Order: sequence, then structure tokens, then C-alpha cells
Amino acid sequence: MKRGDVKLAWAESRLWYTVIMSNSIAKIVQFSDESKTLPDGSKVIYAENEEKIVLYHKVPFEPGVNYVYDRKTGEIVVNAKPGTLADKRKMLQLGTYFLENSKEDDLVTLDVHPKG
Amino acid sequence: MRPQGPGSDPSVGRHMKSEGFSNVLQGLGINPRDISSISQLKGMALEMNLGDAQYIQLNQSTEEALKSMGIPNATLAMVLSGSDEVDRLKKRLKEIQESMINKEDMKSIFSLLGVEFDQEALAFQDSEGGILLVRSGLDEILED
Repeated sequence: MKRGDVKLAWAESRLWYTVIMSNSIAKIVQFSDESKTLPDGSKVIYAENEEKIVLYHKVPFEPGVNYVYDRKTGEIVVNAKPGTLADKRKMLQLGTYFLENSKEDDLVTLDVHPKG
Repeated sequence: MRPQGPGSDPSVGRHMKSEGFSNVLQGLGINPRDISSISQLKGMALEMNLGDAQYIQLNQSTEEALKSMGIPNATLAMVLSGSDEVDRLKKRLKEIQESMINKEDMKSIFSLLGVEFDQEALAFQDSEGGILLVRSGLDEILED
């Protein structure tokens, strides 16, 4: 790498990730109260493991949309079909909307533990 | 992939009744049968990767975009949504810069982790014990 380039290697997140994920295969964040919704009436569930970030979005009376981001390839799959850059933006927008409109007290993190 | 039945923990079956939960498990490629238990923590017990700053692994399109901005050979890109985030980043980098740890200690840590230590890299330890590498450009960011 050449000096002067703006390059940030965020080893911190990797290391913390290793610690956090050491005894689980996934973490899932959602409202603790299943009846609770975001201000627009929709629901969002965020999940991640070492390979993927998943965001599930459900608007009332519409089918749910499952955004699956591959952390290694950078590719996105939406409802099991290849997605586009616009889908990535939408996923980010939904994640931000979820964060901005949910209180810490309303959320729960589910830690998924493997067999064996 | 449809759920193939709950694991040994009754709470697994309860969660699987949620369409959203089973969908995200499917997205993660996790078979419900491989789950032994699900523990529950209040609040958000992880650093969500979709916040103000999103760290993304470069693919061809982002690499091309960075090249067009005169930033070739980047390995990671950080996307910030506004000037507030840039200001927060600058403040954070200053805090980190002030907490620079002994380089010899850092060498040992990297050695244990199997990571090659780049002498030109600036390595810091933040207040929460995480390790942050800032490879060049730090001064330029702070002075910008």
C-alpha cells in the first residue's frame, strides 16, 4: 500500500467479531414484542453470521422481502434471486430506518447456538 | 429451504413459528436442526453493520469507484452518510491516535494472530480494547 492513500483497515471489528461470535453461529436482532412495528407499520429483523448479513422486511399485507448480503463476495440476493446495487442501497436504508426508529429497550438479540 | 423442525431447545420451535425468524435463518444458511439453543439478550448486543458507517469488502464496482476517486489499491472502503459522520470519525481517530500502544506489544499481538505487521501501518488500541489499524492517510484525514 502506498502512503498517502486513504485506507482504513478496520481490524477492530474483525477481532471483536471473533470474540462475539465465538459461542454462536448467528445473532438476530428484532423487536422483543412481536406485535411492535416501525412507524410505517413494517417490521424489520436483522441477522448476521460470519458469512452473511440478512435483513428481513415485512410490510403489512405484502410478502416479506429477505435481503441476504454475502460479506465475502459483496453480492446481494433478494428473495433468493440475485440483487442489484439498488437493492444494496435499499437494504442499507431499511437498516438505518430500523436503527433510527427503535429504542434499545424495545429490542432483543437472539444468540443462536449450534449443536455439539 | 423450509424449516425441518425445531432443535432440542423448546424456544427454537417457538421462534421458528415466526416467518421473519425462519426467513433470516434461511438467509444465513442455517438449518434449524443444527440449533441446540437460542439465548436471549436485552437490547442490541452486537455492533450492527448497517449503521452510520458501513464497512464493505471491495467488489469490482466499488473498486472502480474508488479508483475514479484517485484511491487505488484499497482493501476496504468506509461509506459515510453525511458530514456529521465525517466529523465523528475525525474525533474518533483523534481519540484513537492519543491511545497509541507500544509497537513492540502490537507486534506480539499480531504475531499471535498470524497477521503480518506492517511497519508503516499505524496501530492503536481503543478504550474498549479493540485494535484499530490505520494505514497511512491518517494525517491527511485529520488535517482535511
